[in-house]
Amino acid sequence: MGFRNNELVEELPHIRRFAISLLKHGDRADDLVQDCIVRAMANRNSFATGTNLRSWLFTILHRLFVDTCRRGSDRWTTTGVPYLIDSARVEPRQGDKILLNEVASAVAELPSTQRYVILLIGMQGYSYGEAAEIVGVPVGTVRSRLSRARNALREMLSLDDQDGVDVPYDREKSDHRGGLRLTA
Amino acid sequence: MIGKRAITEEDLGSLLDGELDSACQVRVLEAIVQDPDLLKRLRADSRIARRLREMNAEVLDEPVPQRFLDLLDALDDSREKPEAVD
Repeated sequence: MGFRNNELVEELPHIRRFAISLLKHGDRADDLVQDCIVRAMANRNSFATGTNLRSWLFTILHRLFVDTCRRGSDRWTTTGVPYLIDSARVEPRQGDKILLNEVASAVAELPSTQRYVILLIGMQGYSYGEAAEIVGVPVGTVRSRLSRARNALREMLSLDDQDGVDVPYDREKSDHRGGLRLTA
Repeated sequence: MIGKRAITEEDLGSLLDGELDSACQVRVLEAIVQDPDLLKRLRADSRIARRLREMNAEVLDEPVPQRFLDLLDALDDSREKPEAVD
């Protein structure tokens, strides 16, 4: 049971990236990550060695995020200086019609439950089943939250339809999904 | 199972996320090819999906903040602590 410190340190960039995407504000995100570290260390003996440490940390992070949202604290609100608006961090590719910071700003407008799910699946590459386990809801709930989030993002963002579509053909999940390209 | 029912936005999302089995995937793709509105929505969702995968990726290359490492050291009760000196 448990994990080594270096194993936790290896996961921190992923947890931090997620928290920053969730809250947008770097300082608040780091506060959330810090709380996650404290909770993880306090419960390290309940982590089953050989299982997925990152998923376990996302479960802890989710509980912390939900608890604080329920308390109504503005500590975790997404207002403030957006992390991505920092010009040093924005490197949009030439020709992109949707800048990364526009997507980030749109994600910040989503309800917290939808935001967590779409980031788990859309950014982290978790399957619906894995996301359901992390968030503690049925797969059907994940599916509907995701659909509502995508609907809202589509409405918030100005999109043209000149690109092709990357459609994965393999159910195996990873950070880099391969797939066939559908154009018409 | 999608069967003969109309394709929904959830189906489009499941296609993008690789959550459909091959039979359902073929059924959804066939519907998309015949419906320009479905294709338009799928393209929009695909573009958003690509940006989400790239979002804040530069954070992965940043060093772990020292405050986190210090916190881990302070919380690690398995480490030998220096004996207190009276």
